[in-house]
Amino acid sequence: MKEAKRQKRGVTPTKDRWASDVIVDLLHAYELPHAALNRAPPIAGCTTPSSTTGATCPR
Amino acid sequence: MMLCQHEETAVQIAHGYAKASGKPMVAILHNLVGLLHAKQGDLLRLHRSRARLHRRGNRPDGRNQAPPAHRLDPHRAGAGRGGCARYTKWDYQPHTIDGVPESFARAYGVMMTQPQGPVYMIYDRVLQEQKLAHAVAMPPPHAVKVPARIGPDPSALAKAADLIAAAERPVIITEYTGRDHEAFATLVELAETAGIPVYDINARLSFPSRHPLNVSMSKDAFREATASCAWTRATGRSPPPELVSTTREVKSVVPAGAKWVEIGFGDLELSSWALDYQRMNHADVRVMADTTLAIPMLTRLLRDRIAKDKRLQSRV
Repeated sequence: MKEAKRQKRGVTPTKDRWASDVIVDLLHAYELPHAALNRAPPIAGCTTPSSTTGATCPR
Repeated sequence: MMLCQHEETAVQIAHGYAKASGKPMVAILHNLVGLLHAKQGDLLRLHRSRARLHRRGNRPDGRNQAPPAHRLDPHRAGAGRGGCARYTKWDYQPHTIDGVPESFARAYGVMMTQPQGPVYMIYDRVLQEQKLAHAVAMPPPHAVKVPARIGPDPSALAKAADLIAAAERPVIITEYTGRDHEAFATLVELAETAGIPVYDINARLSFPSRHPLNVSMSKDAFREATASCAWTRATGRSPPPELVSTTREVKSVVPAGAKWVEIGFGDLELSSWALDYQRMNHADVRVMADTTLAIPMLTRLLRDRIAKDKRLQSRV
């Protein structure tokens, strides 16, 4: 059911793990549930990998 | 995760959360411009010490393509990191994913050890976007995350208790005692036990504003003081001086012969960059300790002395 919902939102689960996942694991391990994020100016056109949801890529 | 329109907002949200809850919060920022904006929030940190963990996605060459590791621009990356070093307790950039857990654990400990303050961790985009080829060991769950508090030197604290007990009109001046919610009640207990008025500078709310022993906003308590006990975050917090407008002369309201006891983190946070401390008080007793520990201990020492001394009992 969860998988179906995620796929409906366009999010394809992946078994691959990325280095940014280690940072997220640490945030959980140290009970840091909240993060305030600024994604940088649009001129840079950047994304922060751990802050966005990707399909097969952490971007 | 809260998306903020400005880095300053992100940092201040994390700061406010930490002040209110006593728990740290992460602010994620981009390199250079993001970091420079965040510093505005960090400047305030110097005055309102609390824990925050900054993370940064680093992409030093400013292009959309992730640069290979050998093309990292040390000048630009270094400018950002070097710039924040003066505002944070620690900063570090792990260059491999295996270095992340250990540095994260160290950062958490440094940040949460009193006196608390922000740390700055740099996670390069190149590092973050690598596919994990092997399992990365997390810090052991049984390991202590934060060291125990700094306790006072018992003999120095006994000297402080003797000096306060001998004083005719002691006054407490407090600045950051209330940063720790636990310490708020302990300071009330001390003031009531020894009958000492409290002047709260209100850097934090350290003493109830409607308590009969609260003398904040009035300098009169210091004019006849025979001992002042300063509990501070930084060194040498003294009562607000008095300005004589006609001569523009600034005078201390404390009598020259008054004794000084200072309990707190002393010079631990003294910075060569920011002058947020005052002129040095040449104290008679200086005790470096976490006030959350030291105040209840001092209360016990004073209670023993009061029980044996009728003069003290009458003062209280």
